Amino acid sequence: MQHPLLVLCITFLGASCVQAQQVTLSGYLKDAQSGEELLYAGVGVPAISKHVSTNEYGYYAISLPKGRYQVRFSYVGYDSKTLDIDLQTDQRLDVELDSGMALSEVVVSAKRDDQQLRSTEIGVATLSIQDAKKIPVLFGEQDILKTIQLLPGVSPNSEGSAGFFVRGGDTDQNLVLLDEAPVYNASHLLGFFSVFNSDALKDVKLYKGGIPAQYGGRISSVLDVRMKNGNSKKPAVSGGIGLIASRLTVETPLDAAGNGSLILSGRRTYADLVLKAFSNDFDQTTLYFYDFNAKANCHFGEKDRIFLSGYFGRDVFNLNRIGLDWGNTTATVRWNHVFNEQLFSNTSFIYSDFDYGFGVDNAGAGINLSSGIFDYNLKQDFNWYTNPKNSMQFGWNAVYHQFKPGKFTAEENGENNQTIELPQQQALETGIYLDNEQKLSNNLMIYYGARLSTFSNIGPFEVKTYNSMDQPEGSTNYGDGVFYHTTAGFEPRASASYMLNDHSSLKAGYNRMYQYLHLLSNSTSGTPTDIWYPSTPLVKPEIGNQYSLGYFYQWPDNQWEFSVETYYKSLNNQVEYEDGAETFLNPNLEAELVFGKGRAYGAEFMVKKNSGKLSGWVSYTLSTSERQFDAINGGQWFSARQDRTHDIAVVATYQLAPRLSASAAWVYYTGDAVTFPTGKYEVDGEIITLNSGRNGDRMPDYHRLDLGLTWNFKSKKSWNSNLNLSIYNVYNRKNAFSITFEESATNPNQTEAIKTSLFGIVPSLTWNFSF
Amino acid sequence: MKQLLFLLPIFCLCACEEVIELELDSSEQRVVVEANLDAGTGVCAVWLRKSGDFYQTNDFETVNGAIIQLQTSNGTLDIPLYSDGFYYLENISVQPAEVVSLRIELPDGQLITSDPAITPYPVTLDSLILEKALSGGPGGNSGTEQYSLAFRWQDRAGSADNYRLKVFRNSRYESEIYGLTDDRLGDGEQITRPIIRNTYAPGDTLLCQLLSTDRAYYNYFTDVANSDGRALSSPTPYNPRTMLSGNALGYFGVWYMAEKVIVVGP
Repeated sequence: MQHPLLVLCITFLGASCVQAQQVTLSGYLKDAQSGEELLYAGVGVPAISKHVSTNEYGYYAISLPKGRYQVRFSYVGYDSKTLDIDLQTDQRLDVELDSGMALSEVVVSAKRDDQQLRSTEIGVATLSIQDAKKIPVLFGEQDILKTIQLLPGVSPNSEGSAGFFVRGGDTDQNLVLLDEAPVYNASHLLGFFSVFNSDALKDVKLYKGGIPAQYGGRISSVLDVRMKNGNSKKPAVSGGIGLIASRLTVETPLDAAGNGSLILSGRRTYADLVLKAFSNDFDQTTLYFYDFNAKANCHFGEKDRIFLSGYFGRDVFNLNRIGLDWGNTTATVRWNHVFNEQLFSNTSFIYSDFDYGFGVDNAGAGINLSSGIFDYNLKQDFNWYTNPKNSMQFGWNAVYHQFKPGKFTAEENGENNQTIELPQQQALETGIYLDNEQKLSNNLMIYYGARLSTFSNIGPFEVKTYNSMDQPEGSTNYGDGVFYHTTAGFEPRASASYMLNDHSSLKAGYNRMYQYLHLLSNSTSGTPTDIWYPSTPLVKPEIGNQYSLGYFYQWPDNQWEFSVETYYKSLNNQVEYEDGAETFLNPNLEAELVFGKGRAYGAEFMVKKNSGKLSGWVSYTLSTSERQFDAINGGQWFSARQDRTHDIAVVATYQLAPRLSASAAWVYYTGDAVTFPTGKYEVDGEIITLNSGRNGDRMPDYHRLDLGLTWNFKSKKSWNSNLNLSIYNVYNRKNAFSITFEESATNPNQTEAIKTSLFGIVPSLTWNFSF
Repeated sequence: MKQLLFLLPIFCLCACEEVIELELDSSEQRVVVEANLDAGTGVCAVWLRKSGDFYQTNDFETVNGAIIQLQTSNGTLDIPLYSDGFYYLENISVQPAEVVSLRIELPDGQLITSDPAITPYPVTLDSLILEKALSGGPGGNSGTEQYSLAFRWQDRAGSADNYRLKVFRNSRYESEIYGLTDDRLGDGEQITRPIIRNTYAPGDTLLCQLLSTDRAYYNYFTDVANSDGRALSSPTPYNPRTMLSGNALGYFGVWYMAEKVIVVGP
């Protein structure tokens, strides 16, 4: 393992030594109205085909030989700016762009101008929050996790769900980050809404493949969500009132000089209040979720900046005697430091917590179940813009995880009389990485790097071994603070982009990822009761290898673009519960697990129109995702539930009038792979289905059309507002959410298949305002 | 998950269910054994049926002419055919902790045997608790007064005990309630467990049975409860794991039973 790292270091050193008489132009790219930094925006010198992007903090640095240049600054939805710069010494230049043309832009942009062609990024898409708001959605509640599901290679967990699958992977194999903090359960209301309040967000970037070395810990994808910093120029208020939720966001500068800002944003649903107004049946029902985002940032001179950001959200259900309660808390403290024009650093301390509770109170006897996970993460990243041809990143991080697999208490008349708790587990996960993007010629750019990750289990804990009957046969006790098991993974990453001509390029990528945390679930749809479980001496880390190849074409006027990407993914050390696993507070949970492997491959096609009155895209994914476990399906390969052979999305927005825009989204995908019964029998008065084979059947195909209309009211001074009408499932398709097999209600001597459809046609109206 | 589906109308009043016709594959018929040994009354009752296609009626083919033997520490007892597909024997003497097993030879010569089962200890049902339930809400019962029910009993110290709660409402067996619990939470302590799934109306007569069961029986019905989607979340469908060999479905269980009757009052 040391050998490849050594080769990499030598390569990096070689790359960084290519120093000529160069100077560096650096600074931040910002929104002219709010002062918000623009992430992943383009900075380019077309005359010499030199292009870079701002980093995840809006900082850019471009090293050039001394001379006079026309430098172009661009960002989707903003007027580009070209500046004539005489660059004789290192120069700091913060640039502000006006958001002038946003109305007709599309939602998703892989890159601006021809950056998509030139960049070594493959399988990557960024999402403009402003434009995502035009896409029609369920209940009018804008949700970035649902918008990304319209991209090729990404599909929903189930109808209306904020959970998603990426390129045949499982939902727990997506790393979801909010200001660098992992969000362990990104869902509200049983998955129908995500935890992301769009009003508080600035930028979203999804890595389906070609995942940079700075990211680790999940084998399928990375969704990097960044919160707004807040308006640093003037106080601003925005919000919205919708069918089931309302939002309010307040932003303010910290001082008149614009040295910092603060943003507070909240959202609460009130489905229970609405229902109570309509029916007495819901008098005893509590049902809501809320989110609260807060972020402050402050400059300390030109070189230092501190960010504090946090998220707190909870779901609360109380329905008759059953209560559910879960939520995430994240907090991030970051320090940006510019050492010099070429070296940028970020230091982060991150806290993340997810906890879940379930309770029943009946006839004076109550039971409660709780579980959770929390992390402390210290992280250091550097961007080193070494020379005109190389841009390097390196860093490290260390995460302390604590797993709380389950605690059960029984109460009687309010007194706790019985408690059982599974032992908590602790672990330290570390990563060190180094990568470089190198321009080899005007046509060829390469990216190469690696991450070395480790995972150590820490005592106190009793490690058990099991016999062939899954019964404990021995155990070893480890004391407090003892590192009793460590595993490591070497994760190479590489990609290359070759410009075939001015309008098209070929790209290839490879990445290997290690995943040390596993979401144990015995549900087909995922519930908050799922348990995050660490790698252990018995449970090996999941390993994903992905190879991808892509062709990208952009029409000369940059209005249209086409891409096709293919991928092959191997998934090792996959973990599942065995059939009938006892998951409830089982102290021998590991004995209930089975291990296998997976493979996923496919092709993703996308045609996109970037500007004009009509904009949008058509995407089509042809794919396969399969699993193999010795203990399941007789050891034969079987389709993963998310094996959706065909997946199509058509998204369009149209500017009907200066203040009126329309949007539409149509989706179609092959039904999930499921297991239907092949017979039935009777046991103890109940009809039981007889099953054979795993996932050999298909749910009906899914398709749906959504329409939206947005009317922008006339602006009065700084007051802006709009009204959005969304119609979900316009043609009222009864898509199957589930199919169950039951005794007939009309003839108990018969059994029948019952299809449950969740959402027919659902219109909704949302009023948004800002001032 | 299915249990949580009752939440869905909250979000969308148009959520709906409909009966659909599916083209389902058929699998070979398999023998289904339902064998219960009531250690308290000394009765062994065995049903032998066959599985059928999903869309056939629930009248399953029975199996007669089988040779069924119960093996106890006192020897082997034949369980004779009593009526169509039903085998029955009384006056069997078994003691707590005694190992018993079942052997079935089908008319076609196929042999089915059970894993040895350890006879559990008797249990006493101390009391039944009725409490007025909150009315309304999805899954609740609006309009009429409803009561929730809980069982209370004393667990035996020093043994790993498994329990099943059964309810007969107005003489109808509520087979959809599996009511499975064990004493992991507190060996030797008083246990109070609610019936979560159902509530009861004034005037209902409830026959409540508490079974102290062997572990394999408990595991089998835990699988049945989980596999049919009645648990909090529904796993990928699978066939409940059985203690029977010979490609048979079903179970053999030995248990003690205690019961009480209560009339739900206003």
